[in-house]
Amino acid sequence: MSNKTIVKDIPDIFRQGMANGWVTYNGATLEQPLHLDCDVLVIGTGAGGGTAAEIFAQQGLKVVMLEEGPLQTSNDFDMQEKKAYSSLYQEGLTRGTADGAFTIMQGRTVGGSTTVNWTASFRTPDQTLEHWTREHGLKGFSKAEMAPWFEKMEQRLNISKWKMLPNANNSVISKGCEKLGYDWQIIPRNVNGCWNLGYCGTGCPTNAKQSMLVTTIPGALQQGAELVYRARADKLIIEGDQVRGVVGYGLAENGIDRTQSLQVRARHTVMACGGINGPGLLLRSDAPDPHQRIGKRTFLHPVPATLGDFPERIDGYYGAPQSVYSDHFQWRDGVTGPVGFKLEVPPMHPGFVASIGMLHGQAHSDQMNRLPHLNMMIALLRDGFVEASQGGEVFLRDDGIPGIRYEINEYLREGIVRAWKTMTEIQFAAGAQSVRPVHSMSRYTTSLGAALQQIDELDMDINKMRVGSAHVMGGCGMGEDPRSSVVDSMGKFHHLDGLHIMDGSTFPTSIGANPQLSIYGMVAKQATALAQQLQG
Amino acid sequence: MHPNQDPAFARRSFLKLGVVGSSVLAGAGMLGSLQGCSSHTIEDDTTRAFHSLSYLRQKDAIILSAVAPAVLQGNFPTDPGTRQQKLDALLQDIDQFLIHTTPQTQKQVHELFDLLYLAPFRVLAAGVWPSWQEAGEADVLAFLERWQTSRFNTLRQGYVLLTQLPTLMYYDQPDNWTDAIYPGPPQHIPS
Repeated sequence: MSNKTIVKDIPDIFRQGMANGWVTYNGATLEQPLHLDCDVLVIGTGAGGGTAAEIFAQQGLKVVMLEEGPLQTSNDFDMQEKKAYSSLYQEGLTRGTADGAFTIMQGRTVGGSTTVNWTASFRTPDQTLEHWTREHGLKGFSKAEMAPWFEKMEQRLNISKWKMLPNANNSVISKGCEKLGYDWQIIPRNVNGCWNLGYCGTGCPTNAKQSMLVTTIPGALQQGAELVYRARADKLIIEGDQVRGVVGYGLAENGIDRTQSLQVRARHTVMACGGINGPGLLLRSDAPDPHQRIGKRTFLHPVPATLGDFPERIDGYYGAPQSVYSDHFQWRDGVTGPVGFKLEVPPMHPGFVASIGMLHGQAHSDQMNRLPHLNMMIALLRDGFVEASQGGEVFLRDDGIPGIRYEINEYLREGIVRAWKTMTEIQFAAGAQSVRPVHSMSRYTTSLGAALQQIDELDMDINKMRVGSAHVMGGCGMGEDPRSSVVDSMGKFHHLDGLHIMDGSTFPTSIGANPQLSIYGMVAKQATALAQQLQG
Repeated sequence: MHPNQDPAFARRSFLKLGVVGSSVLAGAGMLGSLQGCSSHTIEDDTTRAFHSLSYLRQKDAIILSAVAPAVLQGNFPTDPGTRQQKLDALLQDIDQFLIHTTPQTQKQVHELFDLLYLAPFRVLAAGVWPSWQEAGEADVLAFLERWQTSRFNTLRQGYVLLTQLPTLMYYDQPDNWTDAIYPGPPQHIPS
């Protein structure tokens, strides 16, 4: 190991807050059943739950937050993949689609995915808002109506375009696009005093990332809200037409074994469990679903990737993981044409590249021995905007944990091939000496012509091509018509009172951008309105 | 091809196991019954390979000990002493990783290893004639390629599982970072 940087003397603001009297419960160490009462129960502490909880608490409502994951804070964030994947990610990083085609990276910790995401913060694209209004009948989602809420959350989370020099991994996009005449832009990030280390994905060790863990959750706790972590919400308490809270249980350190039961009774319940887990809770609760909409239209931003090997060092594991993007191919063929995509890069940590990159044997070792010279480019396919893209469906597995089925059909396959070709072209233009798409049968090829030919010849079978997702959206879609949606435009559940859903699971389609700011802005608006109702 | 269109696997329940988010695997009941015995009739071998392993059983350890070095061929040490040391550490890491997943994933990993440990399955489905203890690297590589290119998604899922588990666990282990691979993260000193 030759890294000489030392991260130390970072005040652990969360532990300090706890020492100063924040009320928290650890489900893993409960010795007897836990019963709590509150005005508003917020289930989940990610982008949706964190934002909502602070707003409710600021309005003087008594708030309880439930979180299935552990409480891990800056003192725990040692920048090691090994510990982070097992402790901070859903299913210990083994979440995927039922057929294994997708790898799904989703946070499971206090702060949810905001604790482990790569900080890209985009407003919902205008085209997406217009599409929702036109095709899904949403009210209050025009660009003008949403702008103040995005602005509010941009200020709250210190979101602005990254001002430092992008690292070499991100510069592959700008260099290649520049050469080819494609548009590229700098990514806005939610950071404050960022050290430019590159370890956002294993939890920010400097508390620079303005995740829910260091912003809204502390804000809510400071106002008297209570937090129960390592606590799984099992079933909503449904009495007649009214939701009255939730029953669940504490989870041991392994995230599996049950400790004690818990019950939180609330005047109002706000689900912010995220895609997959949110529909899962509704399904476990036997919530009314007369039109069979729960869990349907779950979107993943399917992500194909290509690896480029450069003569110079890239060191893509260091520096802000995402600082450059290209939307050149996002809307070019229209909102509802062939699938559009956003181009970005992921951080290049060894476990991630080793496992996501496919291959085995000598070819795998050869690739790993080039890690400092590798760039990975990813395309986020914008699913859900056309009839041929209905997304996936959440179902309950035998162990009570929700799973997802998602078929990669011809519409998406065309997009994957097109994205592979585009990314390959950009990597060669940026100076790559060889490129391969992430597919178990592909090899590095040293010319653009040979690379494009290889792509044309590859089998497009799942589990040969590798597709990932870090954005689970939909499954409890918004709309004003209960026949085609689960909640209304303000997040209220159509078929029961006392229940709102405020998170990315209510998006009627995917976003076409990393979703965190879309969730923040939408939930700030919905939670502010609900807080006023509950006060009144 | 969508797995539901695989004729031989239609109407069967699929094992769904994810490693690094890839769900995986083989229709265990079906493949077991092909050989005339289901996984339930397999002798329940719960002997722990090592005292320190809490999830992996002896048979799991035996199979992984054959598969992992082949998956990592090139960077995995060849000197017998170092090799055994690395293997022990790798099995421990895989064990720790799996105990933090889900009951279903754990069950399905065991079912896969149950199947692979059955001689008829090993020979017919994996194409490995010698026992796992005696299988050479060439045997294992041939098996991996067979599953990698299989027309059945379930076997390709098996390939993804058997390659992702060792690669993730080997390369997120600081002991295995050479300067050619990764200079490592900054040092972290909690406050």
